[in-house]
Amino acid sequence: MTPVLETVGLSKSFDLRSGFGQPTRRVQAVSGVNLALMPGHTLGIVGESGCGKSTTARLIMGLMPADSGDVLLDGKAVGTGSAAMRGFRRNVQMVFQDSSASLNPRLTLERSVAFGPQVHGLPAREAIARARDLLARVGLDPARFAGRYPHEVSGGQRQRVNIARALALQPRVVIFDEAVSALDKSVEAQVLNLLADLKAEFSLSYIFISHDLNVVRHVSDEVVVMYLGQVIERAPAADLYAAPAHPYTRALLASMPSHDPDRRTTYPPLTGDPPSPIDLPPGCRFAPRCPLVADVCLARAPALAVRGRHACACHLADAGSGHPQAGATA
Amino acid sequence: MTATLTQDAPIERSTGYWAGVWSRLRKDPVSLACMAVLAVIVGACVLAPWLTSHDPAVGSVILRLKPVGTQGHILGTDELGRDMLTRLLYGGRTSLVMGAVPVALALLIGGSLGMVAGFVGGRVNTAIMRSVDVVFAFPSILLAVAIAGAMGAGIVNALLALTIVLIPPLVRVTEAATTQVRRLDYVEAARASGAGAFTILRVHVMGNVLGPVLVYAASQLSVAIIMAAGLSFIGLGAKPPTPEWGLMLNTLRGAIYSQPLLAALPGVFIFAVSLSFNLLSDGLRQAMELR
Repeated sequence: MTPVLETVGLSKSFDLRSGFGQPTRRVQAVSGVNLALMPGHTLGIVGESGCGKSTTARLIMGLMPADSGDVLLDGKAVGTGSAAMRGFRRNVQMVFQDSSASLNPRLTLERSVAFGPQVHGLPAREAIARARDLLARVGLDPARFAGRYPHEVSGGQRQRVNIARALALQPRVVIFDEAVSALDKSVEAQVLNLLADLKAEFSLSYIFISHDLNVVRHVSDEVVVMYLGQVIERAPAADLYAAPAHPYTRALLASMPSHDPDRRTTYPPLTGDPPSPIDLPPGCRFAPRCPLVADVCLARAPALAVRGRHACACHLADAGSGHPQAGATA
Repeated sequence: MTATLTQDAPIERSTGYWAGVWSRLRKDPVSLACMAVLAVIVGACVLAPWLTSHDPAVGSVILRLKPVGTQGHILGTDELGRDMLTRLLYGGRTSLVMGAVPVALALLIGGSLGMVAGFVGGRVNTAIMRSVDVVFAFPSILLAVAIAGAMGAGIVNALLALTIVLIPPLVRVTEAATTQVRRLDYVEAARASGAGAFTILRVHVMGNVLGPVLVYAASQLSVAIIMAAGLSFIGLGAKPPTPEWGLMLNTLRGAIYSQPLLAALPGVFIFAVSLSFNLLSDGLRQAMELR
């Protein structure tokens, strides 16, 4: 089956101008990210803040140009021209994290939702009708909410409007960039249930970006773990949570609180912050924080090795890597 | 989807943004007083031909410098025996136009330039903002005097000089507001929905930038009126016998010891109008803040 959405070697770096006459330094925000989203699936992306999750989403949406790499829709590369981009955006939409910043304070909720369809040529009257239908579909009674302004509704309601706005173009893929992170737990659960319903009703595929491991496990079919701009592990959700292969993933999961004493991990939690993504040294990007670091980790960056449906970028997972413990723990 | 189901159902409408601003502005006594002062003065100036029975350009040598309260001349007469009230009202027409037109022109030109600079960013921003900085290097009144002086005295030239002087600050204010709005997620979301730059500017940027820019323009109105009066005072704006507040201040200078009240009258009008615009812009700024 062809993935509905795919990225190949997506990379982006930012130049930092440190001062006049000084050499410019380079931040590797995203390097060589390959993702594949199967139709009807939810792809979860997890990682600490600053690991490139949001940049990846923005690159996919074409909100910033990628340095290299391609985005493929139905196996075909999306062109860079404005017509190609418009067609792509009808198929792929995004919900942002900050529910209040992502709605124009001067537009009523129905006009915010209707904006996209109007841009794509739907007459205003029909666009408004579609907006009201969608507001009803996300649980906001149009009679009460359609004419209101963003500051007059709660955060959870605003995020529902953002979801309605993303659905207004009748896309096939929706990217959620920390879309429920700012909501209360009870509201978050409601929105997650809504997302599951909408996915079935409109046969959507999701990319779900979050730092909340529990939520990602709950919604995802496949999970990708990112660290400093790279994909370090990729596996079906059940596999990943049952048998994490990368030391970073293990540490991440160990940091996850659990109600069940039997499920408590004994793996040491992560210490320190990720190293600065500026002028990265050779070798594994996780090496400075890794409890199982060996000489080979500092010398050579591990490639993403695929074993079945589980892929992991760690010398430990590769018996021939020269890591003293290779194969023992994987 | 069931497009017809909810299409014509009645919906609750919230009060729009500007209606909200107006209702908050109406509750502020200072703004209300300023609006009243401006309404009276501007209204009287507009209706000057119907409110006065004298000709602003015709005086009587016998009636020179009559004090305030003279029979037939409520506000007295000037150094050529012309009715002061008539001259003040007709002069207000010139003065207000000389204040408002440059601000309106600068709002149009400076606002567009600032919005483009802020929205496009990069080299375009650098090019526009650095060119504007060149004009900023001169004190504004000095620049206005220099430009008006170079082009020669006259109302049109003074208008142009004031416009040129007012453009840079408006470019800056608009650029700052646009840069701020451009980074917000709703602009990103609009781009993600496939909208072109012009549509985004029109629907999402303009409305959110207009507020702070209008507040600033209202405060510049008072500056422009004072500068216009200043140019006329030193002979670079309106030319006699055209009535204009700054020019009247100048010609009545000689009477400051014999009729101080008379000599101060044009100044009082300039003061009242510019202070009102200033306070009103403050009230407007407060009324525009969304809770």
